[in-house]
Amino acid sequence: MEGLNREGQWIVMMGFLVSIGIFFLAVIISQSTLVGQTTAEGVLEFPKNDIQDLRHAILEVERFERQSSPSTMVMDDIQQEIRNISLYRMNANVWYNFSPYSCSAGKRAVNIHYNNGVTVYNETTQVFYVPC
Amino acid sequence: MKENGQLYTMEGIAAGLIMLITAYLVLGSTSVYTPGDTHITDMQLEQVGSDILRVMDTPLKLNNSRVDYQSNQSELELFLNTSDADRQFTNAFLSQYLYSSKVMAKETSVTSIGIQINATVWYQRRDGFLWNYTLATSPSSLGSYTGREPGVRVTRWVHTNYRPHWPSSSLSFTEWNLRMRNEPQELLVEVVMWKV
Repeated sequence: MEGLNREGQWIVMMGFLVSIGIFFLAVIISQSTLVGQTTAEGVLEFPKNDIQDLRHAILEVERFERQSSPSTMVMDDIQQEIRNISLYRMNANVWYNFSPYSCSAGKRAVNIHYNNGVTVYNETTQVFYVPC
Repeated sequence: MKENGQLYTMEGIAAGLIMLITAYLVLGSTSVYTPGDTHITDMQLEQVGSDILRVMDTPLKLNNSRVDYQSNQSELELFLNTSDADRQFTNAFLSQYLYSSKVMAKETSVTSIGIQINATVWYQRRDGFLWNYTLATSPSSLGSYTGREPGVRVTRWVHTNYRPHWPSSSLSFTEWNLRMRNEPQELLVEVVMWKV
């Protein structure tokens, strides 16, 4: 390489650096659509409304049990209805229970489990009420 | 053989490779979006639909009394207990909520063009089987069953203290009374919405 001018080496090196930079930018751009799509699909597939709805229903069942004190048979039927209809119509396995009700405690734990094969949602929440 | 050209040759090959790989990556990253792939509009319709059901399931009169559960009936519960559910539900869902919430780009009349709905109620019979009946359905002509875009399904759990009103279309009155528990129960109201 003796025939080459020394100044030319800088030009060659900078050329390499710039092209490698552009190359990496291209890699990043090529990933962006893929990342965007998978993120959007993740958001779309998350059963947000189903879970919110189920949560509301179960909390309402809890309130119903606390305020109207129905028989165990009615509560079992309701549990079965929620489980079966969820399984058939929402493709989800649902299970819930409440901690025993004592009026003086003023609070109660509610466990909610939801699983549709893709999303698993578990929640333990406290329900507060005016103690006697 | 002269040594002069070696560096130029190497640089040329390297630059060529980089350009080729870059072009390959850039061309490979372009993806074509067909309307069927974009579920964003479905998502909006689904959100609107489930918000409407949520509003309909809000008790009309909030009673502070702890024992008086019965009077806290929601609109959705009332629709389940009336014989006129088909008209009332459709009217409330479409005219009262959907078209008044300024979701549509332009004012359209409910019957001519816009969104059609079909609401079904799923319940568990006394013997454990799941059954359903149509609560309300809006399409008036055969043409309105075809949608421009894929339909979406929104659901809402409804708690009722008694069995719903007899849906005359499905079973005889005696059979209905025999099969449905007249006790507090959970029903699933399922609404399919589609654009026409």
